[in-house]
This record gives sequence, structure tokens and C-alpha cells, in this order.
Amino acid sequence: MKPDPDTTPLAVRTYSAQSRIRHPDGLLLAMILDLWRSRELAWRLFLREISQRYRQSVLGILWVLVPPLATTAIFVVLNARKILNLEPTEIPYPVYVLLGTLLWQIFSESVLAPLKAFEGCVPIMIKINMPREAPILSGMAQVLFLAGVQLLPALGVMIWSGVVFTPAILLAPFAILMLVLLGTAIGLFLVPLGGLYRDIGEGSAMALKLAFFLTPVVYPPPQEWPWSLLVALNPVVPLLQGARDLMSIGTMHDPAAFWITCGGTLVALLAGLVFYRLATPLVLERMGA
Amino acid sequence: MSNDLLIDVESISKKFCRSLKRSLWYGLHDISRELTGQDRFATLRKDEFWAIRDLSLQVKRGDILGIIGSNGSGKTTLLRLINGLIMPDSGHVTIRGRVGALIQLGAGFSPVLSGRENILINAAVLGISKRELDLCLDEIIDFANLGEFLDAPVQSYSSGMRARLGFAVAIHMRPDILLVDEVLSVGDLVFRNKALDRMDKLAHSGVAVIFVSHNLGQVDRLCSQVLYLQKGQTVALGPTAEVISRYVGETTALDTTLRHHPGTEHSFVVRSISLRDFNDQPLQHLICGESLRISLTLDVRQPLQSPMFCFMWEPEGRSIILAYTHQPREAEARPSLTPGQQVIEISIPKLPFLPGRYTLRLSVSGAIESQLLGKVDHLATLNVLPRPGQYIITNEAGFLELDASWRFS
Repeated sequence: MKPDPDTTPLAVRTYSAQSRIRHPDGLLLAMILDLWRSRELAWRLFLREISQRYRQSVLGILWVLVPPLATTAIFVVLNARKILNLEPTEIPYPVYVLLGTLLWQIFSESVLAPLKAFEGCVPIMIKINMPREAPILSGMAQVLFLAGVQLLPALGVMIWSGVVFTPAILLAPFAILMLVLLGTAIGLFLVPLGGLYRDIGEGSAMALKLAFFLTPVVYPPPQEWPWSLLVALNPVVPLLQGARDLMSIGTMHDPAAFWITCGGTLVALLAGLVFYRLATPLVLERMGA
Repeated sequence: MSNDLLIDVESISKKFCRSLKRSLWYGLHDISRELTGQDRFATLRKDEFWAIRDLSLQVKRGDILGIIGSNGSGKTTLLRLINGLIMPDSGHVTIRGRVGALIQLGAGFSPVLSGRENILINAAVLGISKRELDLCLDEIIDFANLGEFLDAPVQSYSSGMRARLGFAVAIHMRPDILLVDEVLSVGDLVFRNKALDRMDKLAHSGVAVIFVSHNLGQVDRLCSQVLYLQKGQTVALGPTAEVISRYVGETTALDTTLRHHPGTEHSFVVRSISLRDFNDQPLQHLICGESLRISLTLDVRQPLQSPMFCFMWEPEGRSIILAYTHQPREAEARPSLTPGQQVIEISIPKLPFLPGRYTLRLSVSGAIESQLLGKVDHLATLNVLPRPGQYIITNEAGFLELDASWRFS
């Protein structure tokens, strides 16, 4: 069964003290190879996480629906009682809030997922040389899976409240993927620092809660200066709004901003992956046995 | 690099930091250096120390290199460097082929999932593709020998069962290089032997093996070469018997102070002890079944009326006293010692100890047996090595080899 040593060329690897950024082509090539090599492992890690998380629970996966439904209920009640003073939205307010909270939750989980997945794999990674990209892919798969679970019931709610779907909804998964990639890109920059200092993990969860209110999730985007800056400078807004628009009214308010942010997201993702690849080995050796 | 040279370590060094807070800070610093394209810091910063210093070694196809050394000498760090888990601070490591590392058995087992599910995960972690796994899944299950536990959650397994499962997966990944770190300390006798045999077979099929162990018997049985590490530096690297005996000779810290029984402080002290072979040469290790001479020199300060000397052998890591050698029980049959230097010689024609490390202890009582005069807990250490070709099961087999003749009729 063993491959003949004389005919099969063996992969040669060298470990040295040299900074790997000095050979960017080799670095990128190795990164792409490892992303490819880690697909099977990422899949296994994903299955492990999902089946482990719900094995000791009766309601199981239904738990992911609870937070967005609760948030939606709170804002719908607050708005109906005129405690909040919001501009009217183009689509029924409950649908607007439900979609907004769901999309925000998907984004916010994708920011935290890389650090969480990384920390879950530290005990393995300090003992076994495995592609370090695998936990990231597995974390991303978990976010996408949960996004699917959360969005399907939301579609039911929309039909029930009389929203008419347009073919544009077929583009919505792309917009959601972009939202997840943006979150992942941000999350990748947090991993090495968060691996060293716990403050980063705690701090970013806190910052995301704050950002929820700074992003037009439960209220329509403000138009007047200086509040419009919140919209203009926030990279989440075009993607979140775009996804919500595609799923409800069928056309995007600001397609230019959407596509520019998509491009920016891909650049940020690549930078995040390179940063992660360079920095994690240095973090792991500080966590070593 | 020739085709047979699978591991080439060239003067590598690695440093660690004693303080966690500072270590994290240096971590940030190192990240910024890596990102700006500067090499790693090759000098020590505050609170750092060299875990590995200027070490080189080469392992070829089919070689089994043993690594020995006391705790903290850098054995595991070296394996982690070779496995690419940590990067050297200077020098470089070149490896050819697929590396199977048993630095921790069963890394990645999740307790709530079953053994079968964990095989799939563990195989993926080790880089075994689904297709390869399908080919050897039955072999893995067979080797792990878990019976009906295969589909039970891993949290219900004993540590030995986990070890079997982890080892089974790792050796079936068809590595070119196998790194084994002290993992055979768990598991029962049958499993350990199976594991040792399997490593031997792998080496014969052309795998380069590095084996870290504190069990000198296992190292001696398995390895063709041994590296003796101390404080991260090579003390010796060469043929197994030579390096082991040097290690044993150097690490045997003797404490020959006599602990007196209260009130007998002025009676005598131990001056020296020597263990010699049948040629009367000082010995560092003994081959199983050879003869041994012990000579104990005492400084007697007060006349000792018919003292009784009792030598006890204690196998390493066990509290039970294995065997003792003492004088006649009747006080009148024992000589008395007068003040001055006295030498006591004991000769054992055929020491029946199985390979392993034994500690020699001494207790001395007076004319009346219950009157304890003093004792020495660690008089000497004796390392017993196997005869060429001797089949040793392991320490679990007991400590004595019985001389027996067999007859079939």
C-alpha cells in the first residue's frame, strides 16, 4: 500500500527563522493550497460543532431563532406604542426589523466566529500540524448554516405579512455571503490579538452590541447631517441594506455602494487571511503545551 | 539532501519566556516583526531562556532515533520544532514527506461523539483523505480493538482505550516520518507491545522514527541511535548502548548520606560505594544475568557489635522492595566491626533482574535486629540492559528472570 519511495517525490518543507512575508508569492501559494487542503477537515470540524452543540438540548437548533424573534418583538411593541419615534419604513415595520435583526446577527456572528473557532481548535493545533485555515472555514460554514436556519422561517413571516417576492431574492444569498465575508475579514484581524489577550474577545462582543444601535437595523437610515455619516462610513450598511432590499422590495437603494463594498470586502478578506496566516503561528507557540 | 535523508535539523535554537505577561507582549512584538519582514529576534530578551540551543541532527529512512534526557531538557520542544508546530529562532529544519506525530494521542477527540465519529475527525485532522480512510478504516478499528465501545461516546472510554484509538489512527496515515512523544506510558502491556512492534515494522518499511521516552528499556529495545539532551543542548548523539550508559552514568545523582537513627549518630558513616563487574571493573550498566560485586566502605567510629547490613533493590517508580541481600540472622554468626575503615564486599554471581533501573538502598541494624542504626535511601543506581537478542516484554512482566529448564514429553 505504501507508495514507492523511489518514484513518488516527497514534499519538502523547511522551517526557519525568516519572516515569511519576504516571499509573498510562496506565502500566497501555500495559503491557497492550505485553504484547499483544509476543506475536508473544516467539514468534519463543522459537523462536530453542530452535532456537539445540540446533542444535549431538547429544542436543539430552534434556539437560534429565539434572540432575533425576541428583539423583533421588543421593537415592534415599542414602535406600536409610539415609545420610539421612527420614520415610516417602505415595508411593514415588523418585516423590516425582523430582516434587519437577522442580518445583523449573521454579521455579528461572523465577526466573532473566527476567534471562537480558533480557540476551539487551539488544543489540537498546538499538538498537531494541521492547516490553520480549517477552523476559519468551519466557523464560516457554521455561520452560513445558522443563517439558513434563521432565514427560512423569516421568509414564512414575510409571506404571512403580505410581502410580494421578486426574482431579485435569488441574489440575496450572494449579498448575505458578502456580509459574512465582511464579518470574517474583520474577525480574522481579531484572532491573533484575541488569542493573546482575552480583552479582545470581550471587547469585540461589547462593541458589536453598541454597533447594533449605530447601524440602521431597527430604524430607517437617517438622511440629515451629521447622522447620515453613520451610514456613509459604515461598511455594514450597504451590504445589510442591500440584502434586506433584495429580499423585500426587490431593488437596491444604492447598488453602487453595494458593489464597491463587495470589492472592498474581498480585499479586506485577503488581507485578513494573510495577517492570520503570518500571525497565528506566533500566537500558538505562546499558548504551547 | 539525499533521497534517504528525511529529517535534517541544522543548528536550530528556540527560546521561551518564563513570564506569561511578558510572553504575550513579546508575542505582539514578534507579530509586528513578522509583518514588517524582519527575522526573528535571535538574542534573549528579559525572562527568556534557550529551550533548544544550537542543535543539529539527521534521521534517515529506516532509522529510529531515541531522545532521552531529564524533564525540561527540551525533548518535546525539539519534536514540536521538527513537526513545524513552532518555528526556530535561528537555524532551520528540513523535512521530506508526510509527518505523523504522536505528540498527544487522540488530539481532537470530542467526548460526546462516538469512537467511530471521532475516527473520522481525527483522520481529517491528521490529513488523511476520505478515500484513504475508506481503505484502512477496518484496519484502524481492528487495531484499536474497542469491541462494542466503538459506537459509544468517547467520554465513557478508559485512558487506555483512548490511547489505542489515537495510536491506531496515527499509524495508519502512512507517514514517512513518525514522531512519538512519551505516548506509550498509557495503555496496557498488550497495547504497548503491539505499538512498539508496529513502530519497529514501520521503520523496517522505510519510515524515519523519532521516539522520546523515559523508559530506557523501550529506547534500548527499539532505537538504532540515541540523542541525549540536557538543557536544550546535545550531550551525546550516537549508538544506543553508548549514549544510554553515558546518560545513566551522568544522571545518577547519588545521595550516600547515612540517615542515623537518633542516638547512634557517632557510630559510623558511609565513605564510598562501588559497583563492579566480574572483571572487577567499575560498571555503569549490567547485562541481565551477569555477576555483580558491591563494595561498601565504612568509617566506623565506635565498635559495632554484630551489625546486620541489609541491601534492598527497588525498581524505578515502584515503592515495593524487590529483593534483599542480608547477613545471617543469628547475631553470633555475624562479625563485629572495630573503629577505622572497614570494607564490606558482596558478590552476586548471577543477578536475575530484568532490564530496567534499580535503586540500591541500605539499612543497618545492631546486634538486636530491631535496633536500627541508620539507613541510606539512595546508595547507588544500577541500570540493567538486555542481553543481545533477549526478548523483553516490558517492566510489566515483573522484575526477575527465573533460570528454568524446559522439558517436553
